[in-house]
Amino acid sequence: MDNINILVVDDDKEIANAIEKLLIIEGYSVEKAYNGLEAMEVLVNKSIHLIIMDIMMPKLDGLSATMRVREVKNIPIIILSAKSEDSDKVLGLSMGADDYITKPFNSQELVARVKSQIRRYMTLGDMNNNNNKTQIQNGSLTLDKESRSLYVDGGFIKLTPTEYGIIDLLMTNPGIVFSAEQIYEKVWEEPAYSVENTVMVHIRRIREKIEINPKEPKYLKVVWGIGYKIEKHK
Amino acid sequence: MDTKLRNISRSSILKSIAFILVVVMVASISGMIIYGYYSGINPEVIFTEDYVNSETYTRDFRDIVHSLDMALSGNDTTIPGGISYYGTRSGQVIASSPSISEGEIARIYQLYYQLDNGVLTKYENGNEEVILTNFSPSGSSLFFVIHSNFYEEQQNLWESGRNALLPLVLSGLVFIVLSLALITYLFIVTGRKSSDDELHFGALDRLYTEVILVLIAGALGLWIAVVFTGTGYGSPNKWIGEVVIHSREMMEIYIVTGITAFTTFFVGLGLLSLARRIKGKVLLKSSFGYKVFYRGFVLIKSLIIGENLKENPPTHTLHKRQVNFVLVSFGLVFLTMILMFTAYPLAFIPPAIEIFVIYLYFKSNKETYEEINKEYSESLQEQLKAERMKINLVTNVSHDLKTPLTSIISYVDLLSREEDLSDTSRDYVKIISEKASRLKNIVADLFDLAKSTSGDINLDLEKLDLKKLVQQTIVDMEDCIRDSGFIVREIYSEESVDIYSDGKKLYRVIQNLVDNALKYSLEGSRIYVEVNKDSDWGIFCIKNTANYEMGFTKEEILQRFFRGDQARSSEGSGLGLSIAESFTAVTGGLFDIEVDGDQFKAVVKFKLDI
Repeated sequence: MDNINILVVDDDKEIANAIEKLLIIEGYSVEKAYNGLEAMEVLVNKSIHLIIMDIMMPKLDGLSATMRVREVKNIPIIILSAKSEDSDKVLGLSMGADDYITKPFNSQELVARVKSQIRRYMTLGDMNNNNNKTQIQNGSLTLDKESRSLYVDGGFIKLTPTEYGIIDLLMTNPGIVFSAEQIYEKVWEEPAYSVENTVMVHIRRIREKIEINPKEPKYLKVVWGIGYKIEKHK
Repeated sequence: MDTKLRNISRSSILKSIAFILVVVMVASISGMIIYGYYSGINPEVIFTEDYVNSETYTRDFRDIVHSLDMALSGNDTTIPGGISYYGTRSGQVIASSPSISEGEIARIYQLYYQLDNGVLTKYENGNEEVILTNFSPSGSSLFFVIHSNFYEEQQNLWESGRNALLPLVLSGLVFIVLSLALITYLFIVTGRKSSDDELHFGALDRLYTEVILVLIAGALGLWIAVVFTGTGYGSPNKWIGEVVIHSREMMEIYIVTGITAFTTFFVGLGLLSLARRIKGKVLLKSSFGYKVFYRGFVLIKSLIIGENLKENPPTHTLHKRQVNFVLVSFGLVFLTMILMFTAYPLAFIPPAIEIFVIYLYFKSNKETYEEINKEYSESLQEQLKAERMKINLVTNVSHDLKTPLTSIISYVDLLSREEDLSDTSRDYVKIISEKASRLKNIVADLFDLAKSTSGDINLDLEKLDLKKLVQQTIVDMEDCIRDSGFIVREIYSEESVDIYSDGKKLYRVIQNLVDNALKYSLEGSRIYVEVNKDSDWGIFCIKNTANYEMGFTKEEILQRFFRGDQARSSEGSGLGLSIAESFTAVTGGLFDIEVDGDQFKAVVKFKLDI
């Protein structure tokens, strides 16, 4: 893990400094840039493994910068923005960012998400090419159907058989919404009757195991009033 | 005192009584007149007390002389009783009794009359006096005496007639005077009320003046028609000392009295309405003719001057130009016609001018149209700009609040990682950290609320099951509920409750309501969550017992930042209910709150999606 370079881009110098300190405590080395153009310069001159990018910046904004970086590099980009609307997040992720954190952020969460992206990028980079048919990849999640096991950023997650059944169903059909009844019938293999609570309790437990911030889940999402789904990530 | 008098004189009861009295009296007078006519009483009885002094007596006397003269000429006439006479003409003798003779009359009676050769002479105690000379000189001689019993009889009739007629006439006079007084009073007080000095108009005054006039004329016409066709079938009865009225004549009296009462009533109402109009100076204004004239005037005025377009200078210019154009064109056409008949070769000049005028008209109109278009698009642009600015403001303020807050939270976090902090400092840092995170929540809530109330919010509307949503929310909040120590009782309808809404927003609504109940419930009490539906609505309702006295109204609690507990001791932004209400409204539902003693109840309703 030595000498991992993280580029922090934010026009607010204090915030950039704070993030720098936080990451240095965690053992990373940090480069700073105060707008998109500076960030592009740093990228050319230094070897960078991850970018933390603000959106609202002078000269070149974060979204445009993200797109430009994506043209040349495949390194993880985490957007850190005061824009908190769902539409902003969708836009950021579709521009090529790997994660989206809103300001004001929780430092533990930021660190956890940075670690997750680094782990994926550094150690699991090859797994994508492995293309094992029994394995399903979705963002940080890897489901191995053969061994009936789930990995988050390469780390093994202990699941009960029911939990595994649910995650198997949802990961095999990413983006598709399943109602509690459908999940119950497929996983428990029994007719469903008043199962909303049962399923929801399991969903909560799975979330606590796989999500960095279970309150704002990245993968396992509740579609309120309808059902549950796992969001598609690259 | 004045006010009191005014109050009484203007009271509607008094006015009504006066009006009815007038109607009754006028009708009575008309009945009395017919009655007096048919009674046959000589009207002179009113003016003269004694028969002998009356004009009637003079006439009667002449009639007697005339009858005697006629009898002397051999005609068959009736001589009234109480008269002795003796007359000769051309050898023919008439006498009241066979025993009477010429010399006897002159000898016996101290007062007698002689008609000789057309001259009537009165002899009284040997004095003679010529009283009438215009009888025909017929060469005859007539002596006669009118006995006292004739006078007594006539005087008796005279007095009985006087006794019968005088009270009638006197009461008639009183009625007339009283009616006039009451009518004056009515005209003075009509339209006034005891409560104020304003003029009040009645229902009748809303009719056009012409209608009132027609009604009055109609009522009068009806009166004349009825009186002329319905009366005059009898004739005055002979006065025999008592009133003789036949049933046919009685009926006429009733008819006249009735129709007079009817007419007086309507004419009276009409006249009073006119009086009110005159007092209010609206007699003309309330007439149909005036209205038509006035409307026409206004129409023409606005057509020519363009009064209603004055606020819009370009449109006003356009209008003025149009009027001028029409007038000039009209004048030119007129001129052409005149020239055609007078100086034919010059008739081509006005059309040529007209062509030029048309050119000018179109040219300047085009400029004005361009001006209008420019103004219109400018105002549209401004509107869009204002709209965009409003949305930008929310976004910018949110960004400007979050940026320093991010620094605060980050540095407090870094500070708390410092190892060489004293215990006191560590405590302070902890407090700052807690308050900063609360501030973060408030800013987030404020931003949500601002977005939803400014209408700039992305909605993701879809068909969903309210029952499922509430179940999911309750399980999702399981930790909070467990920590609070409250028991949440859930009551769900058997079937699904399908509505059309935004699930994420609605989740926030339910979450805020449950959160609110957890925060403000009485220790040991239960919270009831219910999802139900009726024929049209899907209904979510949450009930809890407050742990404080809810001295507020529904409106107050929905105000932003309102906190039921005035101390504002607990956590939270104070925007929970406002967000719940705003989000419910923005996703198409109805939000209501009921406070009943310590019971707090919130209801969220959505139309069922079938």
